[in-house]
Amino acid sequence: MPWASREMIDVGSLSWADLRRGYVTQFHIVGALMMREMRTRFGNRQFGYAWALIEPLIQIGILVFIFRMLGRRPPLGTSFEAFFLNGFVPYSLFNQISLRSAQAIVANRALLALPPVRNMDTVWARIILEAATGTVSLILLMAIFGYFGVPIVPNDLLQYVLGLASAISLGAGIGVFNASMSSIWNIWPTIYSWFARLQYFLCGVFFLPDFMPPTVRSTLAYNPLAHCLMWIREGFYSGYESIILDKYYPITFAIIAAILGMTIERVFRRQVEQL
Amino acid sequence: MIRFESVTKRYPLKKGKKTILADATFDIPRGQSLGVLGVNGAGKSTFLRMISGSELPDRGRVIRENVTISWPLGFSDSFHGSLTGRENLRFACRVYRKSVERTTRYVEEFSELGKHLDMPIRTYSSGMKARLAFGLSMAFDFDVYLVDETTAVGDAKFRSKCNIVFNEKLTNSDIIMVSHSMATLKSYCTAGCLLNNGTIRFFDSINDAIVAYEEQIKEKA
Repeated sequence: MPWASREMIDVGSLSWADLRRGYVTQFHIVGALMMREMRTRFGNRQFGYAWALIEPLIQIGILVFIFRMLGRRPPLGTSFEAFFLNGFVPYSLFNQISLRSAQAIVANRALLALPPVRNMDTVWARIILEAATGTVSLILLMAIFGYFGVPIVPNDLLQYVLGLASAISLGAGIGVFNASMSSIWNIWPTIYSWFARLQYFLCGVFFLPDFMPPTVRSTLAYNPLAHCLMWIREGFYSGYESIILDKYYPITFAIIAAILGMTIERVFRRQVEQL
Repeated sequence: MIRFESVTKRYPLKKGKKTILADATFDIPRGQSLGVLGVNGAGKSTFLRMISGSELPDRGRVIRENVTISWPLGFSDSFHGSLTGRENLRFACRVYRKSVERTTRYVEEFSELGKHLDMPIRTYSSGMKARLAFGLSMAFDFDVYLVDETTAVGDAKFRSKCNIVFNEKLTNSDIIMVSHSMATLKSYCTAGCLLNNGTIRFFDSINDAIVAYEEQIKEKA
């Protein structure tokens, strides 16, 4: 095993002070990377920030328009706007985190020339930035919708926030996996973005898995993101309790993906770092 | 202290592997400037990157204690093309936790980039980029500077400016330098080392190192 080097096993005289210093340094570096990513992610103009609001507004608007034309009624509650807001925004949050961190290592290869910056720092920076962007845009969207009379106050705020956190964690876990997979296998981002597009139809942005036929429902239950959306909607609507929601499933999925990703990064670090 | 502890480093070739260091244990001598010699592909740049910490050894470890080490200057830069020079400086200051103001002031004066400092890096010529990178590393006051074939940056006037600052640095800092120009090595370095097929030999005098290197080339020819 060429990668089973001594430093993996023998940490030598590593003390708590060393560990603390390591974390403080990493905290600064991830912070610096976030500032840098922010400038490149949103560009120079205010439009970059505005787009984070406009894009979900358009998407939700299209969905509301289509479903009104079809003469449907919302699966839950009385408002299509609220139903799609609580579907599309977490979906997009998950997608942005997992897709953008997929490119983190590959896009920041030049940074490897700076010894203090390591591969995973760039991944964490993108995850935190996307999670913050998505959360802020959700809060602003809620304010906008609330202003126009759409019901936006979750019935059970704790479960709502936990559900949202599960979607962010799932995006982060899969993001870590994507980032290290992409660094060793350059076709992976293409494959994953295909999955990500499918998610729009599979996670329940515009439907509720509970109301699907049993075979479809049990297949959809394999999709961890579908559980996050049901969790969020359980928190949002009073009287809705999903029959297939398993709150441990997306969390476990996220943890396993993250561990796998970090293992891949550690095992192939030498190959990836070779310039 | 910079210590290599039973370090093995190989890199893959199309056929087989090239060994740079094989189970080598040594300290990098401090208090003198070191010229790194070796034929093309002996692993001089990889050696510098291992010292800096941007590349890991296959086995063993590199210990750096109470010493600040620069990134390898001149080999590649980490600047982001769509950010301005100033923004890239700010990023480097945050990473190395240095004062943004003081660094920017120093680089402004040193690099003579003027208004270009507020332009995106992608509009820079390679000479301008090198001036920015060189100024930045000089602003940071490292204990050890790693230099990979740079000194021929910019016009004659800027080069002589670099030489003056670099020589000032030599009073407090060490330089570890890779160059194909023996004249450059002689003018900057007092000691030398020679990388050859997995072994490394240290010489107290750069001249001895150059002699050994030239003998090695003759043997191969």
